[in-house]
Amino acid sequence: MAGHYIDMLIATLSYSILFRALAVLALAYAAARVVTIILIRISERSFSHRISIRLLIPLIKFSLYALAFYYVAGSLLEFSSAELIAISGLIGAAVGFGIKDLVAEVAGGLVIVLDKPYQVGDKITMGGYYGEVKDIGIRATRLITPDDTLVSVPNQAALSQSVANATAGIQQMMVVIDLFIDSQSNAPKAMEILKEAVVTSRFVYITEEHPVNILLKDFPFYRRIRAKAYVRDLRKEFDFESDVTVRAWEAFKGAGIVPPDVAVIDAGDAGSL
Amino acid sequence: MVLRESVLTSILACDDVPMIHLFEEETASIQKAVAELNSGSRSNVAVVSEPFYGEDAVWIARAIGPQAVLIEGESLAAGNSLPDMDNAKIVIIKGLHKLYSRRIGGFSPLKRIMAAIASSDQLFIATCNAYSWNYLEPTLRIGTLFPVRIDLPLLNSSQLREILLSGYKENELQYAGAKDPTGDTQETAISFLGGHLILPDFIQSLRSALRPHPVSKSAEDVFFNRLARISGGNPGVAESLWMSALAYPNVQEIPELVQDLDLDQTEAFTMNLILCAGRISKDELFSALGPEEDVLYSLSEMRLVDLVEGRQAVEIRPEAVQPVAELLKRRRLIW
Repeated sequence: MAGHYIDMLIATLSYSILFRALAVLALAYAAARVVTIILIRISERSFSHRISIRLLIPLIKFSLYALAFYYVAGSLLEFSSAELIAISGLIGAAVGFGIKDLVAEVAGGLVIVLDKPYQVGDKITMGGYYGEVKDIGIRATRLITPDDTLVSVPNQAALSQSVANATAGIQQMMVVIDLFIDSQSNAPKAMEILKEAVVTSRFVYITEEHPVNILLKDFPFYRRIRAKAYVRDLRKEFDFESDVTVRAWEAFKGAGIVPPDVAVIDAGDAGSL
Repeated sequence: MVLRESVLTSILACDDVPMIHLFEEETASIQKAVAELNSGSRSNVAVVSEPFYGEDAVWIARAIGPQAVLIEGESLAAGNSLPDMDNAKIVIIKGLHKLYSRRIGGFSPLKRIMAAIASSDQLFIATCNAYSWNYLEPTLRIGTLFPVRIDLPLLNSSQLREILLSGYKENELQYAGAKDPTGDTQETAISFLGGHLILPDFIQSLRSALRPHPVSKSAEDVFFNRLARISGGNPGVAESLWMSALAYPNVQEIPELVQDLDLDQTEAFTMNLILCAGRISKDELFSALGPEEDVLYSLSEMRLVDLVEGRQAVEIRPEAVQPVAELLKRRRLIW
């Protein structure tokens, strides 16, 4: 039965139809690349709408590929209802036997685009990796990690695992900066210095809705001074942290504030306070 | 014809000229604060304006009269103390933004004055750079000490014309450029991805058809419309551009001096510091920025800043205020 349907499919195809189908798919790929490049350039020039513009990229790519497949299946190959049923049967068999993971990844991609657990430009933790979402492809989401590694996380991970999204479509994000000082050092002075280091940073974003908070916590043999503040551009998360840390420690030295003598064994839970 | 050094200042400082109606609302707010002080209630006032706006402290002092003492922010930053209650019920602090610098430890003079204001019974009226104020408000909560905030308005072309032509007779000046029957020159190209995209003829025709019925505009109208657009309505910037265009009795066209501005990270932050201060010494700039001599050279080449006071201070050029502010707002360096 399956062989009969395969013979029907092969009989339908001719070299010209095959060539045209490949040409349409190649055109769709080229169009998707061109649109991606243009939208990326526009997003970089329009800083405040960067993430909104980038969100369009996977939507347009999915649409172009879907149109291309529809055209190839409907207009070029001109399947009859019987042939479509045959094709469906073949697809079902293929899914069952071997490419179910691929189909799950494509389905995951569609769910991500429609449900938006994250968008291009967000900083997320997924599949054990933390990074900025660079692209939501048909099969996988591509992240750039802090050490500039490109990681492809299969889209089905978004369906089966938790996704932690630090930014959720906005430019600014909260950054937590921890500095550790000796228990004998002047903690209020250290808090004042850290606050001034944060508010004078070139990367900080402060408004009534995005205030700066400085917190102190006691540990055996040392104290933790924690700053919670917003960086104006999530891509500058680590530059912000470095800038504040360097300048705060320079000022700490001048104020006689020293790091703890003993090695810090437990830095405390990042999710607390 | 002797050029007036500052048209706005001379108008506001002259006793024979009635207060121009442009600041009536703002003057009324200040006079209300003074009246409330006399009845026992104190609400300090912050008068906030763009860099180069003009001598705002002058008209405030005129509005209040001899009972107010004017003190420069720079002298307070140098360590001078505020006048006491016996000497002044009302204190005008000119240039509150001079009391801080954006570095660790740079807020000490401002915090000292804020503490003195909080513990005083005097009425304080402070003028401040708008971008500095918007930074200080969430950073130090300075707004709690100054509950009344007055934003000096940006002016339209008619208002700028009224100020700048106040000393001239009608038709006394000759404006360069032909009479434009359709108003401002219609754009035939638009910026696109760093280049210019020429508009096809049919799109240009469509734009012409969709425009309102063209009103014939004189060269003077065209000049002041362009001046209002380039200056962003800032009267001090407009005055500076006016002075550079005026070659009595002729008035030259104002060129677009800053176009397609693109700054890197360091340049943008440097312009942020300069814009918030208007004029800043090199020492103060580098204490906030780090040793970045090269950046001043590149900004100077872009005609965004001038080195003044024997090249020991940096000042933003008036015509750069508007485009730089727009860029920094897009980058969220100012808000």
